[in-house]
Amino acid sequence: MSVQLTGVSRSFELTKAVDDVSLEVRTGEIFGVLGPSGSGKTTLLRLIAGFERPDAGTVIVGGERVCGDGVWVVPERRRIGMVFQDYALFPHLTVERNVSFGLKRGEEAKGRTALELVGLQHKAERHPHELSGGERQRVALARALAPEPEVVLLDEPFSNLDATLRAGLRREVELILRDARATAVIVTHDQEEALSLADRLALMRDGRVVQVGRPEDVYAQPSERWAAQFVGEVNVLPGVLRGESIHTELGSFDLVSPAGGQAQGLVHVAVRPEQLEFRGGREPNAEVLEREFRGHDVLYRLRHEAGRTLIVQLPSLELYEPGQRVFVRPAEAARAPVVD
Amino acid sequence: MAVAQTGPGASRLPAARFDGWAVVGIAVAGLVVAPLLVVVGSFFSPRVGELWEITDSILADVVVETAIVAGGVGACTLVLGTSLAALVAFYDFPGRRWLDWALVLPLAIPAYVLTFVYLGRLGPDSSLPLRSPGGAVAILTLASYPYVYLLARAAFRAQSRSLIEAARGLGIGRSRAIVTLALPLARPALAAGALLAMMEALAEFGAVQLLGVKTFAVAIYQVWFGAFDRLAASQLASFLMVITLLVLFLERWMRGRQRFTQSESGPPLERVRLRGPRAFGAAFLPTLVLAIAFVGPLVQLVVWGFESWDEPLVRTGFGTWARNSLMLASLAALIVIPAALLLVYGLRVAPSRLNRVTARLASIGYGVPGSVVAVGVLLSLAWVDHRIQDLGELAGVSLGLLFTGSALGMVFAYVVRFLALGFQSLDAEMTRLSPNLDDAARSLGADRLEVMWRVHLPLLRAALLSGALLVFVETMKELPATVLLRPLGGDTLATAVWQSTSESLWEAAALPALAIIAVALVPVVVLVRTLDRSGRTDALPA
Repeated sequence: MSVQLTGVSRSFELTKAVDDVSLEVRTGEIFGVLGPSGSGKTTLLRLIAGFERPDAGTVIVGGERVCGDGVWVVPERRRIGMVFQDYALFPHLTVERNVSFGLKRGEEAKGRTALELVGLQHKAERHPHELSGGERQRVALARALAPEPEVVLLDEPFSNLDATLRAGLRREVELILRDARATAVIVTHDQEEALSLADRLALMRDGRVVQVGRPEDVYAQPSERWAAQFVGEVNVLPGVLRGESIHTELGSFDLVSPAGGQAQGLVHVAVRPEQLEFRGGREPNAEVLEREFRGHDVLYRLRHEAGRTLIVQLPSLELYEPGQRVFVRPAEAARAPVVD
Repeated sequence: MAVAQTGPGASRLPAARFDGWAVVGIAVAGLVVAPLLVVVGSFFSPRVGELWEITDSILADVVVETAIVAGGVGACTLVLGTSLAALVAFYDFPGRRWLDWALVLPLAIPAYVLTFVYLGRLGPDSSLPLRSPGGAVAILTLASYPYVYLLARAAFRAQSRSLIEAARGLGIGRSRAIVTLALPLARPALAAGALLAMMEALAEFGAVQLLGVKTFAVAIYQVWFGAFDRLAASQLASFLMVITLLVLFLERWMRGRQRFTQSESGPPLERVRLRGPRAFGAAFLPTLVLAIAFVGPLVQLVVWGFESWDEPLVRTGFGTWARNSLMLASLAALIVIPAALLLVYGLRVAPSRLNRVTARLASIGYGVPGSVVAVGVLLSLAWVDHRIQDLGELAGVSLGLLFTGSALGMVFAYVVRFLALGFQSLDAEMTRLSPNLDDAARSLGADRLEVMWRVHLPLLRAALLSGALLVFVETMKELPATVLLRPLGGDTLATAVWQSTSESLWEAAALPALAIIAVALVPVVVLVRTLDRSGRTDALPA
């Protein structure tokens, strides 16, 4: 276990930025913290790093208690690397000296290794202002990794980059972290980023952790309606729970997990846009309102005959026009979670 | 791995309201404010009734002459500085490009130097009534119009072209657009500049004294040395302090308002090219101002300097004066910069409202005239000396006066006056540095001291140097506090100039005056170079 938080809380004036959070980050994993702005993610990161002191709770890093029960270890002794949103590179130092800032005398080799890891050894003598945004980020990452910390914390690492660069750099950062066998906590408000990058992620809202799990599980089995809506697009439909399936106005869905002790009767299910499909040769039950062409797929907004607006995502092989009437139904073997 | 600790770590909590930094801030601010409070304390003296009789007898004259000088300088610098700035900002004529920056140069000549050059040049039986409040207004206007010029120039350059063009599209002529739009928009900047010049006039001692005009700054000195009445002097000093702090407050307020009238960015106004006699006329006024405020006096000083090269007074004295000046100025800079660094650091580490307030208080001395600060410092040190003496008597030893009349008093006064200069240049730079730099360094294993040493100090190097330079130069030029506080035989370049000129030994004053100007030119040249650069870039699209 690399990082372990137990009952950690931190308030600023009247707002509870972090409210009774307990989490575990396993060694070697990339852990995502996902939430809207103001949900307390950055405060959580600063609490782990030691830049903020919690009002309550304990923090354990690498098996060592760094905070709680009268113990307080200052940030510089926590062996935690951090990559800041603005990178916070030291403008007066070259790339090489930035990277070796946290190294002791005689550890220069570690600095070179870190620079090679991010592929910037040829820019060692440059200054930060001579680098592109992506290069700066890699320097910041190399600087955080060089002292071989117990865990690296990344605060919205991609938010200062061009949208076009982001996907590529995301992959690159992931490879670097895997190469270094680093344990990392990445804070982001971008659900696509969190889903694609993290081994496991925690979903935060108003200072609380709503759900923790693998991205695919958080996506497929959101613990509540808000979680379903925040992670991806979703249709929330009322339905009746009967045995192993739920009957809705669009047809029936299989339950994601066997309904152990779940409430019988009226429930809501979260249906992802890709879990619906159009079928020909049937009496149409909906009308296409809008079409958003996204290249590899198309997002349709429909009005169902029962009055509900639905979103449906289909491959772009066949296109439907706004105004066209279609028959919409659950895709084959679509499983939907009950959200309340 | 770090050993879990509660001791040293616990003392470094983030953002406690009342911590070590607050204590440091209060201590520094207290040191600055204490002598000023001592001055005001004269009103609570048991002799206050008697004091009133002394001050009352001269107060009316002093108030009138101070009002004439300060008001006159305010009005005249406003007119002169604004006209010069408008000429170079809105019109193009032969020589405009170098006049643009050269008009700042008179800042390097202290008013008392300008005064003695003209007194010596025109002679005692000149038809110009130089020794009068009017004469003082003329001299001080020439010395401090650059304040208005600089602020007006910046305000005019910040106005976008589209504004004037919009007015012209509405059928308003260019000259009228300047008068009805550009000037009113720059009004807060113009007022701030004129108020700065007024503050200088209120604080001016040497020039006014030489011209025989009795403003507060001069009256304080005369009551102190003529009547040897320190309490009456400090009563006069508190009047002066209240007036200047009022002017300072107005100035800050005006600058705050200027921010609202600064228009959005856009291309600057294209200058109108003047030709023929109009171009000649436009070039004539600034050239004339530069000649009588800078070039002429400089030439005269060089001539006198050559003539007095071998004079025994200068030959024997110059080395001592220069050494004293250099030592005092370096000492002031060496104390101000660390003190300012402490204040700035306190704000960085614990940015509480309390620390903001103490930093503000510690900067107040810059608005207070040197003679007022000197009076406060003398009274405070005398008080401390007497307490020490009392202690000595208890122990049966005679200690004498330790601090009064030592160089310490002068350095203390300089620190009180110029701490703001160091603080402002450091604070401006520090607030530009992302706080994440500090956190990044700490997460890499650097403790607070290392963050300061390895991150902040290298990044603040330029600000440290320019802050130290400003303090150094201002200390070199500073006259009233030096005159009031200098120990016997402790003449500096500034007091040597003043001493010689009060005995009408103009030639003997030339070399020390030139030395002061040479040092004072350094920050002015730095300023001019930045102006020149901005002048060139904003001239590009035109």
